[in-house]
Amino acid sequence: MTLHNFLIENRADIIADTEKRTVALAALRPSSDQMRLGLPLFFDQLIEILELRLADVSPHDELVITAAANAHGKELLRLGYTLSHVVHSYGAMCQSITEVASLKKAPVTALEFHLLNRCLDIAIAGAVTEFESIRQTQNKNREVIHLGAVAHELRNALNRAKISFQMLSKGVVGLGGSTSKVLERSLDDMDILINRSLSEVRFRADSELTEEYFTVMEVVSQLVVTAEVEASRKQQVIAVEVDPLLGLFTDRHLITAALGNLLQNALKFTGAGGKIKIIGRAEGDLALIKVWDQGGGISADRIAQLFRPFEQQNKDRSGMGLGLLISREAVQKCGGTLEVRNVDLGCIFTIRLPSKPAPLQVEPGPVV
Amino acid sequence: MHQQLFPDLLQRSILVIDDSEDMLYLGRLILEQEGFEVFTASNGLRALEILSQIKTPQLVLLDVHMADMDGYQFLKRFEIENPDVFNQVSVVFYSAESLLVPSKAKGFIRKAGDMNLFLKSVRGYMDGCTHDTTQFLN
Repeated sequence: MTLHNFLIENRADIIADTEKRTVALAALRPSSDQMRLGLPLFFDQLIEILELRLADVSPHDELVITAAANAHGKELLRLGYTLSHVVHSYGAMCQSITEVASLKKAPVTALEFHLLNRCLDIAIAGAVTEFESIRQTQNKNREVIHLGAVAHELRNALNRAKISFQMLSKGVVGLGGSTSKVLERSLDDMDILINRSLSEVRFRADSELTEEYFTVMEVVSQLVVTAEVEASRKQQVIAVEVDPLLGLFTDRHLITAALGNLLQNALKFTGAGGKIKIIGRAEGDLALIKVWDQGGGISADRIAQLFRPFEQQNKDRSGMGLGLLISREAVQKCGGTLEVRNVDLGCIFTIRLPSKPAPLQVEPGPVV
Repeated sequence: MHQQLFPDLLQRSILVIDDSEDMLYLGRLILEQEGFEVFTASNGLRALEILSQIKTPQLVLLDVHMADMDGYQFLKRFEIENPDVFNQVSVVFYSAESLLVPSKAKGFIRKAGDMNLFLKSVRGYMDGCTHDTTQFLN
């Protein structure tokens, strides 16, 4: 039996098996009719090509497969799938074909296998190209929106600062009162916005990893000094429960950026009078650093989208949405992971990194 | 005593809607110094509540970007929920934005950080000057 006939006779089994595999890959992600039709469409194109071609796919075949794969890649992106899902969905079909063929002892010739692989290559390339092209366009659009949001927030803060200053300088109100506080807060807001923008630029421009030994407590203490100023505005409390001996051997600046953004996120979403807790402890060979907030938690369907560029949980634009993405990228660059889960009153962001014991302090020996 | 820039505007009322408490504080301070009766709301829902309880103000200064309900959403709800008051009051956007989409707002004052310009614009709108907001599209 040729592969062409085998595919026709076993169409239902292979498509059902492929669907089972892609559902497992997708986990809890949504699906759509258009997405479910994508792989069967490719399967039917494959049948047609195997019937017509003896040696290789024609340029026309290539165009037909690419057009269908483009639509499939676009749909997967719309539904929130990753590039890995796109590639693996076609891989799932290849696995189903070879597995059913093996079970039914249907021989596949070298030429047929070559044609099958050629079609898969074209389909994967088509889907990935479209997926990436649309994703890049979306990211560019988001960056423009992000830039506009930064400028908008700066103008808001500048407006408050200028009006406060005019009222103070004209003597409409006295120094040291509420208007002075508004001026101070407006200047602080501008400072935070500028610092965050600069951090983002530095983070993206600097790809070098500088490893050194430091304790988690050193980084946390440094961050909490600044964060407490912001926390005091909303009468928030920051509790620190970090093992003073918990050490890391990695890039201090990346970890500072990751933790700093998580802390900013916690301050922003926790309400007035709420509590933020930073926990650091060893678990086996790992260092666990947790930032716990009382921000009300995140809906299950939004957790998967949380680390996308410029994604935000509410319309408050002051966070700019890049913080969590930077945190995750920074932790990943250091060989760690960042996860989030809901708990009572809020959520916990957990960083896992390889821990490192403190280096031995060697006393200098006598000079001989 | 501080000399009012526009003393003839005494007793006229304005509702300021902004999700920044600092902005509400400054708005109240500036406008009360000029003799206006000032009401403030930190979100759209509270503003709708206030508008159903007070004597119709002459002007509503409305921020565009606010959490939960933005300025455009507020305008739509205001028109549906309280059409009589909506038709009597001038709603003017007060925003850091430079570009606005067409809406039923009477006009736009940019948050430019200039107290005198702000008061002049407020006076202009209080005196019945209306602007076509489509001019801010380009």
